[in-house]
Amino acid sequence: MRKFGGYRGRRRKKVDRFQADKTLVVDYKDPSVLKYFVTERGKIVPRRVSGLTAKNQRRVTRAIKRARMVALMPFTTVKAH
Amino acid sequence: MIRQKLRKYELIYLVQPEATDEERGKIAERVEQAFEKFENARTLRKEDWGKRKLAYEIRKFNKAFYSYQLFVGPPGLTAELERVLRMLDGCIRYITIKLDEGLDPDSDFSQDVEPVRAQVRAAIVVDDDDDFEEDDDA
Repeated sequence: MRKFGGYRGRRRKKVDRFQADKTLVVDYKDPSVLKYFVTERGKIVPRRVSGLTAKNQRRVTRAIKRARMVALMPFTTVKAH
Repeated sequence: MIRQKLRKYELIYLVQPEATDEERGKIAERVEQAFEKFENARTLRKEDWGKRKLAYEIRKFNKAFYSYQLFVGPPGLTAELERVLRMLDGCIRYITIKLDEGLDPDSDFSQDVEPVRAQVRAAIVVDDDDDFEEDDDA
């Protein structure tokens, strides 16, 4: 029997989305791509979860931060009242 | 005399959603004037992304007009652009990003006239019907 979520089981190998799909480009002007790398709250997903290479993670991080500056992406989605 | 190398930049600026076409034209004009002050400064491409929803509130606005511009210019041009945009009340946000540097002023930039990639376009929500979900607590 396979244990669910156990760390002893074989972990699925993560793939860098940008290497799998060469047409995908990191661009701060394109939130439709960047949205895969933030949580619902708008936080940037860490590399161990996103599965990106170090280089691409840096690109994505920079792009998200730029996108936030011009309100293309949220800093956070929790609205203060 | 050494010819000054050029840098390639892109600029996005946001104009408040209640601005009239005239006011927006005025802002675009001021940006143009900044270009005229610099030798070899030239716009490669200009795009109007229309009125878009903001990811978060800026100065109590939930929407803004987005303008995009790709250009080359000497160092110092962006400082002037940012100075101009900072002074304009209608402009609520701007960003300039350096894409390339050390470019020869004589080189051909014509391949840069193509618009921003289609997928970027697709992500751009043109939103003109006013306020369907914002709760204006009146």
